Amino acid sequence: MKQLATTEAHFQDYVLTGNPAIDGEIDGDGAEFRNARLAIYRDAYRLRLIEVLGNDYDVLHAYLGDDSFDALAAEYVAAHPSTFRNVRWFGGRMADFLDATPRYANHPELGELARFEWSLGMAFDSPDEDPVQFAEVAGVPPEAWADLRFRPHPSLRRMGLHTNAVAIWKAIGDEADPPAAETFTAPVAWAIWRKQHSPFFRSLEEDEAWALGALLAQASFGEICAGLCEWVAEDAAPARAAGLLRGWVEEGWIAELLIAA
Amino acid sequence: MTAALGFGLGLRTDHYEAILESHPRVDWFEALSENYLVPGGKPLYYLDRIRADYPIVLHGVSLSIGSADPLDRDYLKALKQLAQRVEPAWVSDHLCWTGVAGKNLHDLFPIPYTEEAVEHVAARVREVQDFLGRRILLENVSSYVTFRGSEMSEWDFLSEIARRADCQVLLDVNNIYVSAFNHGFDALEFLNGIPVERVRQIHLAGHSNCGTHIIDTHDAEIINAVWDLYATAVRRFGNVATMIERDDHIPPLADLVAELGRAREIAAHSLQAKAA
Repeated sequence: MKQLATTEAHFQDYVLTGNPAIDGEIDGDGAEFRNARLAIYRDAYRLRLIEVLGNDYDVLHAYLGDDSFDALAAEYVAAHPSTFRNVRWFGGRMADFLDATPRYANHPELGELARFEWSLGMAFDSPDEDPVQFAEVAGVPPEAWADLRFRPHPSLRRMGLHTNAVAIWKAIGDEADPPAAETFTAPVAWAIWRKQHSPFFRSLEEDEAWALGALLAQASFGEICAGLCEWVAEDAAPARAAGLLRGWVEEGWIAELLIAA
Repeated sequence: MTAALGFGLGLRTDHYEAILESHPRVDWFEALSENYLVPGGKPLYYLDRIRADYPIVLHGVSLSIGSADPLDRDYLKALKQLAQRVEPAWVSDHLCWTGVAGKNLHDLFPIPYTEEAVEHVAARVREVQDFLGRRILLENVSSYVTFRGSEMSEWDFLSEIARRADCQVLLDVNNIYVSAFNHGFDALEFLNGIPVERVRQIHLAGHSNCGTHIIDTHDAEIINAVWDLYATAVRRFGNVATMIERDDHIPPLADLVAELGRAREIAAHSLQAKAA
């Protein structure tokens, strides 16, 4: 297998970097002919993955325009050769790439737009699970409520965004002019999840954002009630917590009630 | 040998609703395995619904059977799980490699046609078949280069691997046409070099002719020369399951069903000629 391994290593190196070491192993008269044929693979590799990224990030693509997006995508392809069997996961590091690359990091809405779009995609084909229905919540015995914990629906994500990336996303989706990029002093929390077959998202009030974070961190209902006292009076906290929980159940965010034994 | 499945189409997301609503005259669908190697959601929902009405075959693009890297066990496990869910008529992938050193370039790269590679690939096919608990089909790919080190023709390479691994063949007639043009061999010699009993499925597709070479784009109607080659293939291989594979510029479902009608006609004509 030694020769096969060498040939494949040279071929791959050519496709990724243009290293001409493979040329000696390619059949055909004339370097020009061999280069032209090899270039089909090199060009197709880059173009195919740029197209994949364009599909994963169609709003980011529209926001940047073809030339800038293609340049970004080509840089990403060069920086992150795929290690995935399924090209579905290839673009998953785009937000981090934007945040870590100085000329893009100066426009923080780009990384956040990418993070938001990728999260919608993740919700799209996240695991299937029937959410808890409200009747099940109503059946929790009174003495179990303080220690009641929750397993979130596998599609549910919570993220804090420091820019108006979602407003930009919405405007582009509506084929309207996107608003000017804006950076907030405090992040806005968003929930992203799937209902039936479609991803949904909505912003969260400050206390709801905290409570959902606590739920995702496996806090009990009692702990969530106590924590909400930072925003509401102590005697109003259980009602606020119950109201939030009702909303979450209606949205399908809860996959399982974990009742302490 | 089981009865042929008939005439199928590649299952594409654009057509999910139309398939369920119109229940088109398509005998089976070929699903791209990787599209359904996801945790859940719409892709698997539609696959299950369409599977309830039609036979499905699974067609992969990242087995990388010709790679010098070890086989990807996680990929094989996921593929086996998908096959348990879908119960496909068969599972296929390409006689190619897609990456080495842990990378995957998401393309179908050619293998040098050497004894070393035959032995390497055949051993891996046997391993895959043992793991999946079923025989697989290997498909000939289109290529733009050949290797100086090759010791045999592409058809001998494919046939010898199929013999040693006891696997079956998915013959892509368009790919034969494309590679014959690109490398200057006779497509009929390719067809005649493949053992009849190994061929379980035929692919048909369109391509882009760039004058000096042809790029296998799978994004256009099938050209007459490929139909002619298909007619010859049916005369040689008989009533083999045939499907049209369109990967880009996906037209309305009805257009592909109509194109499939042409495949039915050509196959029927060839089978009559073969019987006569």
